[in-house]
Parts: sequence; C-alpha cells; structure tokens
Amino acid sequence: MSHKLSSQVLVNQVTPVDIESGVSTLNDIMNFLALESSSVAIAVNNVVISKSTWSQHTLSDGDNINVFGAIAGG
Amino acid sequence: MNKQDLLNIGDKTFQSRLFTGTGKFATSELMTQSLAASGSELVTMALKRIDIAGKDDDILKPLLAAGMNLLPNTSGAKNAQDAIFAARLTREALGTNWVKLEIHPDPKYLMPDPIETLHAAQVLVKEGFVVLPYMHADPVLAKRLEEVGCAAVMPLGSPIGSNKGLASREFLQIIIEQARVPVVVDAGIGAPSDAALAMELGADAVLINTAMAVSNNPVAMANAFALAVTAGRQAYLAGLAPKAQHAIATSPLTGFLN
Repeated sequence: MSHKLSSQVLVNQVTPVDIESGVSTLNDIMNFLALESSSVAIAVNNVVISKSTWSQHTLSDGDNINVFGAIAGG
Repeated sequence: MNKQDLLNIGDKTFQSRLFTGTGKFATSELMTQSLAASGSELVTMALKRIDIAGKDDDILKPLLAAGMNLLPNTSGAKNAQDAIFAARLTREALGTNWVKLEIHPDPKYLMPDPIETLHAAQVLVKEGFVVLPYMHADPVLAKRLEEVGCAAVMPLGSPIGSNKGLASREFLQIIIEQARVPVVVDAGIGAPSDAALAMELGADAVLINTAMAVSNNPVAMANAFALAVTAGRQAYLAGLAPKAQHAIATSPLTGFLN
C-alpha cells in the first residue's frame, strides 16, 4: 500500500504550501501566508470560492489556489 | 450644467459623463489628484494574482476614500470562458456586480473579439452582472449586446492607448442613433477635442485613461477633459447648427452702401 507522506497545494503558481495540522482550509492558507483577505478573491482549481466558505473549504493534495486582487487598469 | 441632465446606467446615476481608467499614472497620488480633477464618478481597474511577497500597491483605498464607483474589467481574458471567470472573481473581490467586459486575444491591436464578447455577455447578464462590453464600433453588434441585456455599450474610437481619436466616427454615429442603452465611447480618445466631439455626436459618456495618465500634467489634462465633456454635452443638448455648402451671411448685406 502506498503511503503519501505529505499533501501540498500551489498558491499563485509559485508558492507551494504543505497541508498539515492547522493549515488545511483556505482561511488557514491566507493566515499562513499572512495575506490581506479584504478585497481579494480566491479560486481553487479555477472555481471561485466565496469568502463566506473559506473557513470550511478543506484543501486536497495538488489543489491549485490563486488569490487575486485589484490593480490599476483601463 | 443642467442639474437634471443625469446619466443612468443599470442601478446607478451619474452627474459626470467622464469615466476614467486608473492605469499608467506615474504614482498613486497623481492618479488620485487627476481623478479628482476629472470629476469622474466611475473608474476602471483590473484584477491580477496578488504578489505573495506583498509588494502590490493598494489601489482601492484612495478610490474608495474618494467615493468612486468601481468598474472592474476582465482585461487579460482571451475568450468568453476567461472573461466569465474574471468577472466572477471581480464580483467576489470588489463586491460589485458591475463589469467592463473586455476580451482581446490579439496583443498588437487589442481588438475586442465580438463572438466571445457576445457569448460572455449573455452568460454574465444571466448571472446578475451589470455588463458594459468593450466592443468595436459595430452597429449590429451593439444591437445584439443590447438585446442580450447589456446595461450600456462601449464602442472604441480607435485602438486602446493609441490616442488616435474617433477613427470610427461614422459607425459611432450609427450606434448612437440606434442604441436604447447608453453609449460610452471607450479607447483611443487622445485629446479633449476628441471627447467633446464624441459628446457632440450624442455619446452618453466617454472613458479616458491613457490620454490623461501619460500627459505631462495629468491633473491639468483631467480638468481639460472634464471641461470638454461638459462642453460637448451642452452642445449636443443645444443642437448644432446645420452645415451648408455655401456662405450664409451673418450680417445684413443690404441697405448700407446703397
């Protein structure tokens, strides 16, 4: 039987984060990376996850997490 | 200006018919001052993946402090699927269902893709978005976008950032004549005279970014655009005098030397 030692997600295409005790939901990830959570949106595997469910959204190995915020533009 | 001459789009009412972008300003302070000088009440912005290291400027704080309405765009979308995803992100991030729908797969001319834009607009309107699509100055497409429920249409004057003015003038006139939703001339307006012309033609508003932001004096240019939009609008409401092929004297020609 294969046994996976750790699960990992990728944040904004460049930052890998290990899923472990205390770092298992989207809320945890934002806290872990010390990211500002106001005025941002998160997509997990290209699906937008409403902020109201970040604390219940548990992550799985290989999840692709992208955090977006506003920038200047025309 | 007549205080009753308000512009209604979707659920909002505007006194200023000058909408502004937030890109290309040298500093956030200059942007804030310029937008204040423009009198604009609606500003565009884009969305991108945030820098995990926290190096991004906070663009929203000064805009919200100034009481601006936000019009996030879907810039970067190359097809309808991208744009729909971007719009859902902006709604979640910024708490507004307003979206400037823009889909331009070609990086050289940034021409908006009409087929993908129409498809995305249909989906987003059904999802409750107030959709303002950036589009070519195509009167048929403008009607199609209106029919699927867009709150306004935003035809281009000339390519984004080109400052070439109203290259599409003849077609803008047809769009304005036929539209039953507000027409906002977007892209390519390079000078206050272009903005005044768009308003004289009967556009409901214009959207300016580059011409203001890259001017030597963006604050003064913002004020110049504000004056031009007001002048153009007043001229449209007053009704332009007709053109003639020959001279028509403005002074009496009889009775002085006879």
